[in-house]
Amino acid sequence: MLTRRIIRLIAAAAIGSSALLALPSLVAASCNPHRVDDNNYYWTYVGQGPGTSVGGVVSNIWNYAPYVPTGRFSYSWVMLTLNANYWAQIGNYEAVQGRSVYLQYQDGAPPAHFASFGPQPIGFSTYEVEAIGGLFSYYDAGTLVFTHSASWVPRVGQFSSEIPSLNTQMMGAINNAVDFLGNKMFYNGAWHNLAGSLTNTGSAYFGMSGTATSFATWDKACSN
Amino acid sequence: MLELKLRSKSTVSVGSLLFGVVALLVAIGIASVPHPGSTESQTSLGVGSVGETCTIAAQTASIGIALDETVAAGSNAIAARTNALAAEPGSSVVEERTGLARSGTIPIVNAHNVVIVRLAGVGAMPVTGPVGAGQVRMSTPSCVIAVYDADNGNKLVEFGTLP
Repeated sequence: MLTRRIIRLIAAAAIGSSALLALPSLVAASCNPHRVDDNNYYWTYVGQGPGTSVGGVVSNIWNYAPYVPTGRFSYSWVMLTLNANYWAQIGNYEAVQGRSVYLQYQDGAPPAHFASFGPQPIGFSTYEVEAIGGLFSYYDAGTLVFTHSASWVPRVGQFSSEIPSLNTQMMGAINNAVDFLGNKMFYNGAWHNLAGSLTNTGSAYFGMSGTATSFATWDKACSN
Repeated sequence: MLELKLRSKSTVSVGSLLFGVVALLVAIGIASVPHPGSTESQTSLGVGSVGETCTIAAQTASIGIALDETVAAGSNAIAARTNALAAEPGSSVVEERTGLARSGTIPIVNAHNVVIVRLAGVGAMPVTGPVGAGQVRMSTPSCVIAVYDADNGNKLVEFGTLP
């Protein structure tokens, strides 16, 4: 696993933040973790509230294709948020219908809104959300794909993989972890390296390693 | 001029005031109706024109699809319609357009010959949210719009609302 991560890191650094890395030996394979359907969310994440408004989040994420049963999803994303009712996120999303670049947002009380686009290839691609002057902009591999206007101001950035039940594979596997590289947030007029601790809400089932600016997550039930 | 107006206010009758208020409300109502070619008119996708009830104006505002394009379901559009229906069982095509305009904010919706589909019978989808937001909430989209590239049948974008 360490060797593969080193290869990825070198390749990602060489190709740049918008790179689409396709290494045949690292093609993701979905894996049924054979766990119960407990209907609880799980996250492997880093979050930071710098104490001021946040204007952007960006990460270079390894796109993986996990196992997802009907009605569930597995998701790696970056997010701007204020609290439980205000969020704007984009990332690599897998549902039983297939994989996609997916964004979801909510500007206060429900409803939430979503949009999805064709998936990025297995490999690294950047995901970014910006909020400038009430305009929320979503970037997929450096391309602006969606905008909406809202009056709320984000104060927190989150970077996470997420599942809504234990019967779903968390993004990544023991030998094919999902990396979040170059994690940054925009505040006080500049981009800053993400700071904060790694938090794993299901450490019995999921792995997590690294630092806030470069971390990896995976499902312990799956080998690759 | 301002002074004259203020003076006249103090001398008008109650009936005139009521008439003025009504006239003002009517004017506001007229002003709030989307005008052809305006940003608002581009947000409805014209779905209502075929009797559908699909309200996603808040999102489509950024998609920038113009409604005043000529509907011309050529052979490419027909092929895309076939592909779209095959990809989304139970869906129905409510609009077929070619040469879609765009606002510049959605580069991906830049293909010629695109079919717009309203999906029927879309199942429940989970609402995500920030870490620790609470229990899983499943929501059935009130409507979903999918845009297909008529040249190759690929889905370009899909968007909707989770009540």
